[in-house]
Amino acid sequence: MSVGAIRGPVGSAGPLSKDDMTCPPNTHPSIFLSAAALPIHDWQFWVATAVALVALYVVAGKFLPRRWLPWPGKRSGRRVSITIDGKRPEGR
Amino acid sequence: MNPKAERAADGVFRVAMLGNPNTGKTTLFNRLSGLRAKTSNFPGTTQDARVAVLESGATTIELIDLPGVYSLELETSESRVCREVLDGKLALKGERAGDPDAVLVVVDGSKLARNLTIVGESLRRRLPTLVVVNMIDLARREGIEIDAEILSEKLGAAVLLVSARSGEGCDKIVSMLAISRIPNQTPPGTVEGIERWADDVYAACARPAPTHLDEGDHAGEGPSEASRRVADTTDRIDAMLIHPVAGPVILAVVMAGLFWVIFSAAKWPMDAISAAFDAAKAWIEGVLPAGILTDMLANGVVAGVGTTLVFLPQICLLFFLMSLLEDTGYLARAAIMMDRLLRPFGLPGHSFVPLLGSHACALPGIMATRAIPDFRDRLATILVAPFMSCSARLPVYVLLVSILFHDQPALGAVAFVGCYALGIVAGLGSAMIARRTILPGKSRPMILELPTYKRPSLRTAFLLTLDRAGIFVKSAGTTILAICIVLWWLGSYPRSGPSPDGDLLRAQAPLQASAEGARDFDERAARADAMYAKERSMVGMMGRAVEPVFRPLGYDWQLSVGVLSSFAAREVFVNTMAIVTTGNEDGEDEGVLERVREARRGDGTPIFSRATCWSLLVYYVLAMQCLPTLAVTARESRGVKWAFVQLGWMSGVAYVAALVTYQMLA
Amino acid sequence: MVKIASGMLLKDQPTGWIGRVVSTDLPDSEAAMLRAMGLRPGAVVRVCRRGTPTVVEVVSGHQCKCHCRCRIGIASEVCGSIVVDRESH
Repeated sequence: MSVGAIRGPVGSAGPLSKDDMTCPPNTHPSIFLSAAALPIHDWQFWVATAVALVALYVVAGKFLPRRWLPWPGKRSGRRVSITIDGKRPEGR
Repeated sequence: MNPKAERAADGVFRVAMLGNPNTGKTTLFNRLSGLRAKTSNFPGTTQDARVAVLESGATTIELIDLPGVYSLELETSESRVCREVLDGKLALKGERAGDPDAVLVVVDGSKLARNLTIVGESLRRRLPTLVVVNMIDLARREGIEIDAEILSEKLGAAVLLVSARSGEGCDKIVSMLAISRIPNQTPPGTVEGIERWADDVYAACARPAPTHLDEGDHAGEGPSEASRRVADTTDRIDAMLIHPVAGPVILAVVMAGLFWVIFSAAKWPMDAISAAFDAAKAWIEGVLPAGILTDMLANGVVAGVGTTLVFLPQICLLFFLMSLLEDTGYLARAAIMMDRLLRPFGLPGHSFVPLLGSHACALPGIMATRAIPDFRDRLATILVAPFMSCSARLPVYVLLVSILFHDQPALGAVAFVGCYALGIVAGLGSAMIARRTILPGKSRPMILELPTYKRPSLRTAFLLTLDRAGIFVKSAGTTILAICIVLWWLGSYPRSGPSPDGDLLRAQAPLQASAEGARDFDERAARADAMYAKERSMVGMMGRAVEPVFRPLGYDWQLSVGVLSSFAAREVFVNTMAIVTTGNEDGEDEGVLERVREARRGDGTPIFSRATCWSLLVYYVLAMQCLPTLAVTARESRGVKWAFVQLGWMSGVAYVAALVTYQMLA
Repeated sequence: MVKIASGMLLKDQPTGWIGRVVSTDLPDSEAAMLRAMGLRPGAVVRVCRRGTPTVVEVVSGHQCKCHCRCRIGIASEVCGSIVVDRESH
């Protein structure tokens, strides 16, 4: 049995070089994010962030009711009859 | 345009396939459709149906395999779905409701007398009908010969005699469907009336099968003797398999063998998949320019896809072998036997197969609960299925057991088995509590047909496995991939500079006597930087924020990060721990594992102390740490409420058990 | 709730016993399921295995020479609500 052979999504964006840093390297982790620690001038960061947000939406969509999650474009599928005289097809 | 005209306008001839369970309907469907089938579902229900599109000359036929039902008039969800499809009130997802263009009723030739009831109920719908008498070879073996012409005349519909297993007669089905007509007979409308009608039809069309002098021991045997012989053989086998003592022993041996085959045979394809994804990651990092998107692709997307696919061999093997076992008729006997053992815990015997399947993966296990007739019984099974130790937990068990029993493999094996046992005990106990509190009531008494013993169909098992694997990849795969991408982002930002320890090591590297020594220092510097970056990332901050919650369990911020990360998918725990403790994410490297075992905090105390390891082991056995499973629970239980109940209960049980374990051992 | 019926009960019959179903005193859903599986008033049954659960074989088409046999596993409390009688020849 392989033990964690697949690399987990632990993230390895790699440390910045000293030239890239605009804040002291020994800063203690704080709750709020420093803009300097996010490469906002790199277009790739924004693409990756957009992808991550879409991924978050996909995960949320598995749990939240569909009406809470608007999606651009028309709803998929044609109308289908899902009630019988106003009652659900299955009861408990 | 009315719905029927609109449906006809698209040129597709829709055929609903109906029949009792255990008539070989699925085998016949697979023979007709092969690999062309896909699984769809009926909106507003948890019923799936397999659908295939076939061509017959100029006609395109859409064949829908409805759930097997004993009668259209029962108040079960399967009967309701069949009834409403035939009445034109329910359609598959994405289709407009309307009467099917034809009905294909599949009956078991060896049990025709009983099967004629559903034929009668279907004929009353006045839809073009073709009746297929399947298992005609089995019928002959039991001394029964069916006269197709007389049967057709009595039913007022076309009749074909086939054997889906051997293919006999199956080549005519599609062409006869295209020319099927509305029956010219209308059976009675009452239950008693249909039963009398079925008896009369059977008496008219069934004949004793001709005996053959060259049939060895059975030469000259009459139909009742042949039938008796089959019954006697079945009695003898049943006496052993359902015996109160021998039965469970045989079941344990069969299940142990099943899992041994699964875990041993799946090892090399899993290793191959793992190696392939490692190679893919290295290739991406080598070919594409270094940057954020390359990193996301390599460590988010590839990791996400790989995390799903690496368990596919086990899931495929499990479904394949379970399908073979079910086809033989054995699983029904096992369910009957387990009913006696599971009822005290508030679960029916039907729960046995889903709970067993959950040992490979809870997703297909929970989906298999659709076979449980009673909704409360089904819900109770869904809620406790994730307690069964699934494959994703194995890397965690291996890591922790190897730390605890590094040089004692025998004790390690016992601990392993103990993990499985703990999961089963917790699941059964939770079911018992649930049935006395939130799901009050006893489980429905079991009534289950025991099918005839027969040789299993490899083709059916193969096609079923393909179908289920596809559902797993599509349903779990997308969720796991999305989670891995989110975790990658949280683990990558905010970024931090080089670590102080890393700077120190890099400064010392040029001073080493050899190039190898310098390289060693550079690697250690890189690991120190990685650990530093992880601590300062969003995931690290979250780990620190929740550390007070997990401290009573013996987990510091690093272990809290591991627990948080693996909430999405348990198997990432090992990689996460490797990187936060050693800076190297290769969870398979023995050297890395050794460093994980020896990892220490700033004050010199070991991260993986004995008490902490046991606490982690207990936590991982019992905790709900699989978002895809939660998602499937929400879908199968028809609402997020039960998914949150499951999450809350399992998290609570895991927390308390891990707390007690740590406090007792610390 | 499954009620205990009076008369000869299926659950009391030994392995190998052959008889006919007289009536079932069961909730509608269970009675309908058993009936659809062939276990209906007048059906010939053979007890294959007595106990928990009980396995019975329902013989259909008994009016002709080609019998259909269908085997059903039934929880013992359900068998306690199925009234039977000896098969008369």
